[in-house]
Amino acid sequence: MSNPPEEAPITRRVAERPSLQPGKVREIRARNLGVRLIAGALTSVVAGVVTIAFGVRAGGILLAFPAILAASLTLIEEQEDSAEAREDARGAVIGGCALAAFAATAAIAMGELDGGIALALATVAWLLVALLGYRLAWFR
Amino acid sequence: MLLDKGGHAARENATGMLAGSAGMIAYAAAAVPLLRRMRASYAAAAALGAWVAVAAIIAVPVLSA
Repeated sequence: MSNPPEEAPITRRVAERPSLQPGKVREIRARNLGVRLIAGALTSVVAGVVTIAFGVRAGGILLAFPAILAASLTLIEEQEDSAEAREDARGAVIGGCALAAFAATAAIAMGELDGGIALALATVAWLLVALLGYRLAWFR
Repeated sequence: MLLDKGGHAARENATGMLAGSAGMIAYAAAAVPLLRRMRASYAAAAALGAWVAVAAIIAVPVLSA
């Protein structure tokens, strides 16, 4: 019985580089998009209910509930394989860090600056952490 | 939230999100080894325990501040 090929952990850089492949858009299945949409929408509804019941801070916790990630892992394993699902999860660790940067920036800037500017700063923070995380973790 | 209730409420919302995002990091990290051991649907459900635990721990100081 042969051993499965060793997968690269999150700290090991891999040779694969990000590339733009517009043709892949044709492979997107409406069902998969629909599942992710429904998961995100349901989470938003629940977050809204929690906000009404327990306040905006409590509702904010659910804004980072991994509903879409959970749906994506299942769909990716179904369409591709478990190794690809694990890669998606590894990427989501960086995404989670970027989300924390977004939340921290928004928590500081909201109320102090114009709302649009605060959102823009938070988005930039997300982008910087996401790109830096990807660069440090994977990009050769 | 920003448009509906203004900047202060949006700030409070973002503060709560800190706990959720910490949970998200834990969820994704937990999902990786779980995906080796079980199907993705089960792993995705099992990893929710990590989200709940970490988000709850971080939520205590966040909600009481």
